[in-house]
Amino acid sequence: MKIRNIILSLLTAVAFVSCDDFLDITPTGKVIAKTGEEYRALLTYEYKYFPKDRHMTTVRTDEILMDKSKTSSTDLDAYLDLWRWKDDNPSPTTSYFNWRNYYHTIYIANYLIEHQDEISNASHDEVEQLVGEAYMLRAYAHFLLVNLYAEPYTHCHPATTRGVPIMLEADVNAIPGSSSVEAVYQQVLADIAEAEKHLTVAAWPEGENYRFNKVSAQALFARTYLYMGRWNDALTASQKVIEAHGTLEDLNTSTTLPNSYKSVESIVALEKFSNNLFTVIDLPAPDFINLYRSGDQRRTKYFKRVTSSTYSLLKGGDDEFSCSFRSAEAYLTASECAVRLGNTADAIDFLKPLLEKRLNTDAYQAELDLITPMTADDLLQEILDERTRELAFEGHRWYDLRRTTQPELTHIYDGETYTLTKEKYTMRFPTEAVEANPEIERWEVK
Amino acid sequence: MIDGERKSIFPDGGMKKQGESNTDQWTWKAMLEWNQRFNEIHDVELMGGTEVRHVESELLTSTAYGYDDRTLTTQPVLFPTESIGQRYPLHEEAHTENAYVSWFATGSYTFLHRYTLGASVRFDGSDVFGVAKKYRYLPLYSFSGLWRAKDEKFMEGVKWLEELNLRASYGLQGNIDKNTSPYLIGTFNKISVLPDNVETIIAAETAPNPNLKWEKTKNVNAGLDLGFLHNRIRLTVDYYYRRSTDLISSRQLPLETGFAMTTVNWASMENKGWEFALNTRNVATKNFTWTTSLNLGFNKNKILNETVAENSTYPAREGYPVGAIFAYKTAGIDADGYPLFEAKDGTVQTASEFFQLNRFGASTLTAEEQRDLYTYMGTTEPKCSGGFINTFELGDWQLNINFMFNLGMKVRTQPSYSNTYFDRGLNTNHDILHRWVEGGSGTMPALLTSTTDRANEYTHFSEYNTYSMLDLWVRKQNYCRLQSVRLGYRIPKKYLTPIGIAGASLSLEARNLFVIASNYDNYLDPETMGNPYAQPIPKSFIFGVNVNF
Repeated sequence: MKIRNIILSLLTAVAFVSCDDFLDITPTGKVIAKTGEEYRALLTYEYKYFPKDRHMTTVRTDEILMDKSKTSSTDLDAYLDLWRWKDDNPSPTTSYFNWRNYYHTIYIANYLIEHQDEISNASHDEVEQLVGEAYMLRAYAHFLLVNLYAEPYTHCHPATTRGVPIMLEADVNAIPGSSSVEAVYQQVLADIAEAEKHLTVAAWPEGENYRFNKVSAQALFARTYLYMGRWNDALTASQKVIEAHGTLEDLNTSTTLPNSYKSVESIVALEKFSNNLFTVIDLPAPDFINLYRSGDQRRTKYFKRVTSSTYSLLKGGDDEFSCSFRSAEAYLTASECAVRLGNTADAIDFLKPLLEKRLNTDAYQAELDLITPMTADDLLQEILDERTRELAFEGHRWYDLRRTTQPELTHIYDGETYTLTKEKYTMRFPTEAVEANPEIERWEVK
Repeated sequence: MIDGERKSIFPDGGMKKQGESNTDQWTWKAMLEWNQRFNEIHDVELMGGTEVRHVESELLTSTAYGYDDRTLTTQPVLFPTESIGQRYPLHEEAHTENAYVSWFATGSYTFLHRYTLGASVRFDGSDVFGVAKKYRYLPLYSFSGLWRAKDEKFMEGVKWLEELNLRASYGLQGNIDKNTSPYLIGTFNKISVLPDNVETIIAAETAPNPNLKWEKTKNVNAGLDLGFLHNRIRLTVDYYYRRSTDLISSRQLPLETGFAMTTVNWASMENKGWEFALNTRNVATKNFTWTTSLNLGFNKNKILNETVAENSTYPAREGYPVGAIFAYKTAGIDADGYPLFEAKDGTVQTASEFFQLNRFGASTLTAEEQRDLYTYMGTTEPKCSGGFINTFELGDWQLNINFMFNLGMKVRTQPSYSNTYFDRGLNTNHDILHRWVEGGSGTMPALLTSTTDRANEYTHFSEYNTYSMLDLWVRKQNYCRLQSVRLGYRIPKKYLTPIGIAGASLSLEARNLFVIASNYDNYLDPETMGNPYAQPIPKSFIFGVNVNF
């Protein structure tokens, strides 16, 4: 009996001693990021699930048509209330613009920035590139948020207008309030400048080119300054983009569309709208297609004519058409800024390389003859139209409308007319965000 | 689809799906017990042990297409795109591993058969990833004492008292949420961002919380067992006090943090109360007995402190019970049928004034100001609950009557109808008939349409939960239910023995015959009040035959 007791106590003691190691189990697939590869994987997740809101804003513009009999019922469920700007109480099935996903990306970006000195198994350049991308992601997410949910910089008093919350720390216990539109834009600019110091990769290979590279910093600078109406700065930044990455897809010869991630134009191939809403017959609005003059290769390369008056879209509906920044935008931005600064000759010069790659020889000559004698005002309108034609269905139209004239668009559905009034150019914060944190809606002019 | 002809991406032939799962588990248990009596008056019992368990399981699923059972061959599948391919995985594996360790020990000492002291301790540990080592083991301690007072010499003469025990115990228990880590934990996966380039991702969707602490519960219990008149009257009285600190619960996070929820230590709470159990044999003759059993419980629950999240628009329950209901005080409806609110200063306000709505229908008040708009209405917990059971036996007949009751609660019911979205296809209760209509005399909120000049109020009612938080929907809840009446008959042995049956009985039982309750209009049963679509508790009748051979 006694011997048995001793053996038992010994065995118990053995179990006791080895417990700590015994409980050290790493569950399959779980990880706390430590290496460069693991931090890269954290960022890849954010890229993968980066909101596709910019492309979805197309639904609120004049690019698209909805029809009771022609649009599929799933698309009506998802987009009709966005399309007819019924924002007060959209039907519950309506697709919504993101909030938390942007801030999750911002959280991971902040987390990476805070832990940059602890990243192991990575070269200095690799870590720098990761940090640079984190700043770019943070800048771009804030930029998109302020443009979705706050009044356009060019149509408000930015310093006293409510923007969105700025998050610069990975802190789950934070209770943020909103910052002014001005403060958000300044933060975006600061983050891009910081990113530029860190980015080391000039160009990513095809398939990885959804990641931010060195050129992308100037590309985002150009877009941000353009949206702020800072024409000189936007011009300088877009010229830098053209210098570093000015290649254009020649639609006269090429079969690749310029918004494909495989295109020579691609700078950052991140956002897309792979929903097949875009490829359904009759959705591109016929009036919109009439913006393309004859001899414009885009009319047949962007759209497929289905009947005499109906079209379907060829530049969307597939993961191939991932595009956040590409060369053509830089030419259009440079041209617009030049004319706004009173320099029509430069404006035409910036436009020429693009037109040459988009129009056939006759049409190109006709276009030059048309725009050369134009007044500055007419030329500006033409450049804006060119921007609309070139960047159609890539999620630019909504932002271009709201930063420029904010026209009162109308959509007719089932015999009823809906109007896009000026205040509907700014969407309200998602209810779930306000419910989770009422502080964001509070705004006092400071 | 090639030239309009639909063609499956899968090769012709069968699909072969094979699964394999394997679980290995081993347990090691060691226990030591020791009992000893010294000098006839000291009893010592000791027990200690450990248990170690390890579970490992593997899962494998393999799917092949174009299977030919004559040759046992399969065909490769050529998926047109990667995203389609991901929907039809050909090979899947999973592996999980868990380990558990417990130690426990109990001991007791009894002196003179009437004074007992006891203690126990237990630690339960398990594998948790990314959690501080000190949180691996959940501790549990307790101490207890018992005094059998009737066994004392000085009590020997008290004939009417059969039993008198005094009990007391104290316990401490710790708990932690093992799913919350102070570190950012991610899950590996493989996906492609752009076509044809598969990459590793780490999804980190659980908010880390470095501040999470143990949840601790202290338990104090004192009890008294009494038996009078040859145990014809037995009374048990218990008083308990339970204090929990650093209670763990999930909390909504501002979405700007990047996460929706996390686990936090949110409050301290106390529960105290009395429990009485009285069992009496009222009549006990040779052929007839009548026994009664009455249970009564009075519990008081109070949140001692609550760290209300700064982003919460619902009030803290500090000083209130955990089941506290808060609601907006209404003051009828206005000339358009919109609910009116009674502000704290007594003035009557519209929703727009009460919440300071902006044009988007969102309140511009701080979260704290919004919390202050609520008024305490009562608690969902009963002030008093219990049961009352009567048993009659007459010869071979037996009758049980069993009541249960819960008193003094409040309940927040679902709004009878939504004032912004009314679906005519759904059943609705009578309240809809009392709604405000143009020129009518209804007093309930009107059905609003979005084409009004009060768009922000409309949006507010349709988007936020304000409407369901009106005091209109908070109701009293008290009920007493006849849970069961059961009549049994034992067939006398003299009929059974000749045919070789040891025993047989018949019974007829009716459950939930009726319920007495405060007003529960619009609902089928006072117990399921709150949800208008809840099934009422059914009435049922059961006939039973029981035969033993």
